[in-house]
Amino acid sequence: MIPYRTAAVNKKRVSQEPPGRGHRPCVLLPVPFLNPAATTEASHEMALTLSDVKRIAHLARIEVTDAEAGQALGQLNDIFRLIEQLQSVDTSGIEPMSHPLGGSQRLREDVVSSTENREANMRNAPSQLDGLFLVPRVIE
Amino acid sequence: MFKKSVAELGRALIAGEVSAVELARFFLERIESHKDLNAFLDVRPEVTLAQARAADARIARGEATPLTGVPIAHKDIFVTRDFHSTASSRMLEGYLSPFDATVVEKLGSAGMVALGKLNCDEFAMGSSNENSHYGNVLNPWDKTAVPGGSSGGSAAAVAARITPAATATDTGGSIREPAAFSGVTGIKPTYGRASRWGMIAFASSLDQAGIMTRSAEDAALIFNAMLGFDPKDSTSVERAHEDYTRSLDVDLKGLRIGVPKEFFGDGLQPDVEKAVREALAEYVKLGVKLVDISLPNAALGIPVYYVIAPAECSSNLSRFDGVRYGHRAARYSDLIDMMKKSRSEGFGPEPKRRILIGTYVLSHGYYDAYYIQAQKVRRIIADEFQRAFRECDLIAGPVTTSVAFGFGEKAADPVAMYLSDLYTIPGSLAGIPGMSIPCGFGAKNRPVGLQLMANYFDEARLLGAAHRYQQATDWHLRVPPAAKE
Repeated sequence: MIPYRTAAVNKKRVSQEPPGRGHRPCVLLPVPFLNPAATTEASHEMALTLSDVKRIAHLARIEVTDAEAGQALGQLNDIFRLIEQLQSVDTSGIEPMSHPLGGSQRLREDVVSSTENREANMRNAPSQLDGLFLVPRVIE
Repeated sequence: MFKKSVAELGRALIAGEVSAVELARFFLERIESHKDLNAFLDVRPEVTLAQARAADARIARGEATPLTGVPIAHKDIFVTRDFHSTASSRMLEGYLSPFDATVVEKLGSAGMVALGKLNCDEFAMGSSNENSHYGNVLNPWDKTAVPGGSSGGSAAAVAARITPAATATDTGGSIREPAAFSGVTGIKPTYGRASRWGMIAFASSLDQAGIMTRSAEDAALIFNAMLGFDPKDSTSVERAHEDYTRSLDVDLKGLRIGVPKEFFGDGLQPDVEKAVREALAEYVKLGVKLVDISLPNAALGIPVYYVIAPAECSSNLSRFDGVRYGHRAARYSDLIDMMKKSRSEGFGPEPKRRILIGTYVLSHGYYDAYYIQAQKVRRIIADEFQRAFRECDLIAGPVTTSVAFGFGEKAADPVAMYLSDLYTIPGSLAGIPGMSIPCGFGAKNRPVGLQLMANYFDEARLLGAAHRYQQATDWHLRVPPAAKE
């Protein structure tokens, strides 16, 4: 099990391998091996700490209590143990796949394509005045 | 009446044997009498009956399509002008869209009558429908079992015959898995076939709309009206219109169906394996040649999916900030605090968990190691399908490792829940069409689904193979106990 904190370093080493070799097929893991609980003992390092969870939550603009962060920590580490399997796959020479059908993004003509419907579009606003969205003061 | 298929109802309407208003009233009553299933989130008889009256007028004018006047219900991931659109989240409680999703609009243009909106996992994130803010949906075959997810309301409603058809969406298996658990026919087309416009976004490179019905023939009829290029969706594919019913009666003699050995490994329950093997034997009787194939990295689909889907989800769900729409907290100190409190109150545990994973894997220092690496392994998996399709025309196997599980069995362990989609995720990552058709019953008399997958844009052949199986067997005609109530 690769500790998560070294994942980026490990990736760098992989990318230094000679390109164009194609990928090495990875042995398909039967379901029990996919279960991170089965590999917990082999893992010597917890990936995320409580402060990591709080920092991520802040970046994601989600408020978490200490109790919630503690519960999330265990679950996130389980999930990251699952994800960690990807680090062992040799992907040198493989192009990332961002879209199933590839190709380039279709462009449209630079013309007005939708009509203004302020009333319908603002109907769901939690707080509004005179056709404007209201938010707490941001400039003192 | 509730046993009639979409095709039969369409013919009865055109022949004047029944009116659209009569049908609408009939199914609205069934929704009311099956409320305990909790399949519907919003029902507005006045909206439904107005659409039914318009359908009757169209039939009278002789302008009916094969779908005019036939009722349908929509997963609450599609936005609708006339019904609330919540994505089963507290975040969007009471939300009224200014427009209809393209899929909803296209089916409405064909004359289908909307019965209402269907419960699902919050923002389509889940495999059991236990993540809905509005409560669990019960499996009509066994009310102690989950209906599957995320399109659990769609599956349960079609299974209980409270709607002849329902729209659904699939990101990693959210059509096929609930279709299998609830014993209905469910199909997702090739990525890019159905418009994503107005589908509340979860993971945009995977999200694809599809349909649940009692039969492949019904799905083909609805696909004719539902799919097609939409300039409002940037990943919609531009292709000529197709008739998806064209291959329904094609002889299967000589068809090659690939059976991936990795889909029959450890973890597959014997009851599911038995039903699936029997279905494959039925195909042999129909003249199909079974071919052993291998998808060596298919199981890596789960870790790939749980990087890519949360990454795209954290990006998509950043729009919910409590400013323009959606939940806003009652008390807060400043703008950031307002956003944080609104999001933490509005989102349930599963969307929050995925937002946190996604935020982490996209953050500085981890983007290449996680997100780009996952996209590369995604291509390896997609390429393996292309190699397999050189040896076969379709791929078949189980949809799930087990029949529907009970409420609470996996709810506390996210990873155990994620493994529910082991056999459906690879096809979603590749973007190929896939379906589930009923093929028997397993433990506790719960339904088993057979998964069929085809190469890109080969839906007509996929539907044809499913239809021929349904001509030879009657699993899809079995009615669950709850439907008879």
